[in-house]
Amino acid sequence: MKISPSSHVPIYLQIAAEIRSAVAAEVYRPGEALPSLRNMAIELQVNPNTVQRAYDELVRDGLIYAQRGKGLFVSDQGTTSAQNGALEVVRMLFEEGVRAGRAAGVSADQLREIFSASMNKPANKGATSHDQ
Amino acid sequence: MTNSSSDGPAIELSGLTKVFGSTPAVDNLSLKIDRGSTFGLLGPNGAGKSTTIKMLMGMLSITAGEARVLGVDVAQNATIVKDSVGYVPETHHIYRWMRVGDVIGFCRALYTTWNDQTCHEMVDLFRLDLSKKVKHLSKGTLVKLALLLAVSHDPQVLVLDEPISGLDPVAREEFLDGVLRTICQRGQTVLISSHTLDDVQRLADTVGILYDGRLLMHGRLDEILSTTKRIRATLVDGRRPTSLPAGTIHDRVQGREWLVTVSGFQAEKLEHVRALEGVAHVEVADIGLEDLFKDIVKAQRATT
Amino acid sequence: MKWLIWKDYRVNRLIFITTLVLLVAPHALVAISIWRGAGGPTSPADAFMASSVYALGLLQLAFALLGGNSIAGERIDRSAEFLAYLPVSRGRILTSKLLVALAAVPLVWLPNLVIFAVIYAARPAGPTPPVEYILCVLGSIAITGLTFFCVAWLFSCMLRSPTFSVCAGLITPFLVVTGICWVVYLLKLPNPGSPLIVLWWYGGLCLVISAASFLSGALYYLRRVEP
Repeated sequence: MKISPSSHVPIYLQIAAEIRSAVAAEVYRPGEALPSLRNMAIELQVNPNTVQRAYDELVRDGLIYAQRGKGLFVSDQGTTSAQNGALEVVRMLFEEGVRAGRAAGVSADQLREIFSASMNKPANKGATSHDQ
Repeated sequence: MTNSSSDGPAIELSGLTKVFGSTPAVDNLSLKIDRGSTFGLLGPNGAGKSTTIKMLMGMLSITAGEARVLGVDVAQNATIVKDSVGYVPETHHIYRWMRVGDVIGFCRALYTTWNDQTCHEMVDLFRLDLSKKVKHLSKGTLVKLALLLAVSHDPQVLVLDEPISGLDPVAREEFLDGVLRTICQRGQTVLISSHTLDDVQRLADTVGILYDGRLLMHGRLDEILSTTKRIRATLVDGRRPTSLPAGTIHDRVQGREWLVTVSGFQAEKLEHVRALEGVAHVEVADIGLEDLFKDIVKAQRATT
Repeated sequence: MKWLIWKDYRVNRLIFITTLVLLVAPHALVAISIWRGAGGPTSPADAFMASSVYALGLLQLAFALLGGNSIAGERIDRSAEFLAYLPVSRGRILTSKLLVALAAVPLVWLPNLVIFAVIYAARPAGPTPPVEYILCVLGSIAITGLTFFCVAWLFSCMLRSPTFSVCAGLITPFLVVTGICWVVYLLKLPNPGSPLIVLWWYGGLCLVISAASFLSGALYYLRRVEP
């Protein structure tokens, strides 16, 4: 997992997104413990408070839950929720693309053409965000 | 005399000023750093970061104003402050003839709260050779030794003055590792001064931008970044509008592109820009710390 | 405190080694020349007495070196900036340096005084310099050494250059003597007759200068914030 401090996305959201996609890809399975705050902070080289915020965000979303004294665990709906979350992200990306297209004056037909063309492209195997 | 309260700010600077000759290196600086927070002091070279830090460490005389660390006035009780602060300076002048083990023994005798266990952990973490003389240490190892000395006495405040400058990427990572371990374990207040924004963004939750000895902006990093935006617009005839939205930090015209960095962003400011004559295709974008920093400095330079 | 003293000793180790060399060298030279039969009319006893006095005179240089190196020595290599952020008061820093400098006193004086006293007491019959004379000589040497140290100390507290501080210390007794001579000449004072009066004046002035230098140096350093 890596975060980019210079990106415009706040670091805690980046961390939350990374964990979400890890859960969606079943790197962490339901019932499994997430790395401790301390270990995550040291691994990512960020302030532990930032990691705390990311974890709080994920708890709020129901992706993970806290067990007193034992740490944070992936909830049972975690994987599906993360996968839904991934769907949300994709939706947002599409909407962003459409918005950018409209702003650039691209017509609806051209947009549909672009969409079909990219759907027909062969899937890029092995290029997931976990290959770091 | 020693007014240390346990819930006051960790570091409090009030009207701190330092004048060398006739130029103020630090000009009426007032700042509060809360306990447990990590504060990033940013600024270009010569902005007064090191001067400020040396004053609050009792290593440089204060021309005017006051610096309090954990409630203790540095001018009255520098030794107490030094005992509770772990300091890593920008340049290291540890006795070159001493061996690493000697340096540790020397410091151990002077600090009242020295923790042998922490010290051993750090020696192992950094793989320090206790029998090596300081003059034979590489820069990276020297910085790690300095960090070891700074954290081994369980200080409540950690002050790091440009600690990463000149370190190779591996040493840098090891250093950050050491810093993070101690933050995670003890929750100290950390003041880190740097001009590498990357490290500050990783570690700091609050930042302050220093330029020419004056504090231009300070606050929680996430708040600053979420309320400061860049408005991008096209200038139809390439003429820079005269009316700028409130809170504009800096604006720049490049050909027909107009970029306005605005603090305290609100919808009205966007409307203000949209309503201007000769302005089209107005968009808002987030701004990163680096660009914000550059804009603040450019704006300052333009006025001086 | 032990660590501070150890550190100050190590910083001045070269000076202590020089002191040992200057302690041994004059006596060794005399011993060698006697052994090789190059004595001449001087008896070995006289020769050793002379070498003791000579060594004592030479050894006062050590005090100038110790005084000059005391604070400025750590400024010039900037190690004072390291000590500056450690929690040790200026008072303790000064005390440690003083203790180390004081350790040089018995090192310089004891061996020579012992040699001198032993030879003087066991001296065969013959013309003997009067005790007062000897005391005057030894006293002047002591006071000169004190002046070397205290003036060098003052400059060391204020400046960054140990060399300059040492030189300032070394030059002061000569300036005092020169000053006395000029005063006598300018005021057309009558010839004092015995050199003792000049010596008293010399001793008194040097003592005053030493005390003032030492105290102002110490006070200045205690008050100063910069390393």
